[in-house]
Formats: sequence, structure tokens, C-alpha cells
Amino acid sequence: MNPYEQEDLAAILSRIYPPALVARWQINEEMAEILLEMSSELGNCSKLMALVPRPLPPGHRPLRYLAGEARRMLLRQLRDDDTYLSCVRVGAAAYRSKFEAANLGL
Amino acid sequence: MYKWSWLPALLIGGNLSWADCTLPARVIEHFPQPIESQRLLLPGRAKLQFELGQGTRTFAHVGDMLLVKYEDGALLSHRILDPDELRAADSRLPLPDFVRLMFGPPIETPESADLTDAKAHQDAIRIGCVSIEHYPLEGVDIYSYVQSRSDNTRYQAMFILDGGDVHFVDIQGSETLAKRVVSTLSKRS
Repeated sequence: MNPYEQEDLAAILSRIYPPALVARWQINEEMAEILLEMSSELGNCSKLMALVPRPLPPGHRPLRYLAGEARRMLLRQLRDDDTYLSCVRVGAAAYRSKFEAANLGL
Repeated sequence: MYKWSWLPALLIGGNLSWADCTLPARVIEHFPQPIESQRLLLPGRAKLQFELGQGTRTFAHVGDMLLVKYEDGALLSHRILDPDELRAADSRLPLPDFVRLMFGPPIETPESADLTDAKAHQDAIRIGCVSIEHYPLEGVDIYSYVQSRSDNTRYQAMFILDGGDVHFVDIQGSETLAKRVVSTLSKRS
């Protein structure tokens, strides 16, 4: 995951979870996958999710199936989509432990 | 003649499945089972505990959260919820009452913003919903929901209302563990 993607992902997560919490996370590929998994599970939070291959391959690694430019565009547009952010925020409590585990590499 | 013979079974099955996820949450009588392996003691006035089950591999304490990873990949977490995690920061509704609002029945004169927030949570809980239940335990209300995720794993979340605090316990990836945690949840003497 390149620094630009990490920056976009951190910006998205900081609007879903308390920024102080996100600040101590080492943003990584698995967190991006969890974000997309959460977005996918919560339904139609964004039309942009149409970019993610369906059905999700076993093991939930949707980002792996997106070309670099598409990944970048997806994260950037999700970051700026207020409707998407308010939608995923509702399910965020149920995914926090997965983000924490990904941060620790568990 | 037998063309539609499967229909009643489908309707009954469908109704049962739907009934398990209706609100207000179905009240289940709770008779705690004895704890037979490692136990987790929760902080708080109610002095609660539950069994962690077999196969614990790693314990981690991150911020306000305790994480337990199991040999089979299951993940259990516990934390006391920050009120702002669930409802709007400017809400005046105490968090335990907001959780009661999420799982119904309606409480007295909630603000419309709280109702909207609670409805949004109800919609999220209903996605892939398997069951929504309410276990009263000696003055402590425990609300729980189980979901089936798209990768066919089970997810269970419990909101345990302990005075002014709400414990949040969730279990991913092991239905057996989730059932064990719920069945052994009890007050310590």
C-alpha cells in the first residue's frame, strides 16, 4: 500500500472512528480490506462499491483484484463521500475489533 | 397435487427466521451454566463474568479494548462503549437507554434524532440477521444479535447494561464460542 493510499485510508477511518484512535494505528493493506468488507456487508453505502468485484473472493481480499489506479480512485472518492461515511459509521462498532487485530498483526 | 406441498414449510420456516429478528428483542430466560475453563471478569457494579472457552492463543490489551485470539482464528473483544460510538455526541439520552431504544420497546419521549440513530442501528443489525435476543440477568439487561456474514462466518455482539456503563462483547468466527460466552455469563458471588 503506497503512502497516498495510506493517507486516504487514514482520512476515511478518522471520520468513522475517533481520530485519536486511528492515529495510533499502523495503516496497512488488511485495514483497507476490512473497510471494504464492512462497506460491502452494510449494503449500498456507496455506488462506488460497484467497482469492487462481486461476489467477493474467498478470504475477502477485494483490493487485490483492483488495479492500482482504480484502488486509488476508490479510496479517494470514498474519503470525500459524506453519505458513504455516515452510512458505514453505523456499523463501525462491530468492526473495530477487526481493525485493532489488523493493527497488531493478530 | 404435490406441486405446492413445500410452501407451508417454507412459510413456516421463513416466519420463524423472520420472527427471530423482530423488535423488540425476544426475551430469553437465562440460566447461567457453570464456568469450566478460563474466565473473564468484567469491571463494573454488576460484577459480571463469563467463560473464555477453549483454545485461547493470544491476549492483547489495546487502548480500552481487550482482544482474545483463538487457535481456530476466532476473535473475541471486550470494551466499555464510549457513548459517542453509537449515538450523536449532542444526545442527552444516557447510553444504556439508547441501547434499550435500539432493541425496543420504545422508551418515553426520546428525541427524534435519537430515534433516527436507533433506527439506523436497527437497519444495520438486520443485515444478515440470524437472531436478536434479550437476556435479563438479575437486574442486568443483556441484548444480543447474531449475524451471518457474507463469507458464511457468524458474528455475535452483546450489549451488557451495567448501571451507567455498557459493556460491548463481540465474537467473530465461532458460533460455539459465542454460545459458550452467552451461556456462562453470570454474576460473581
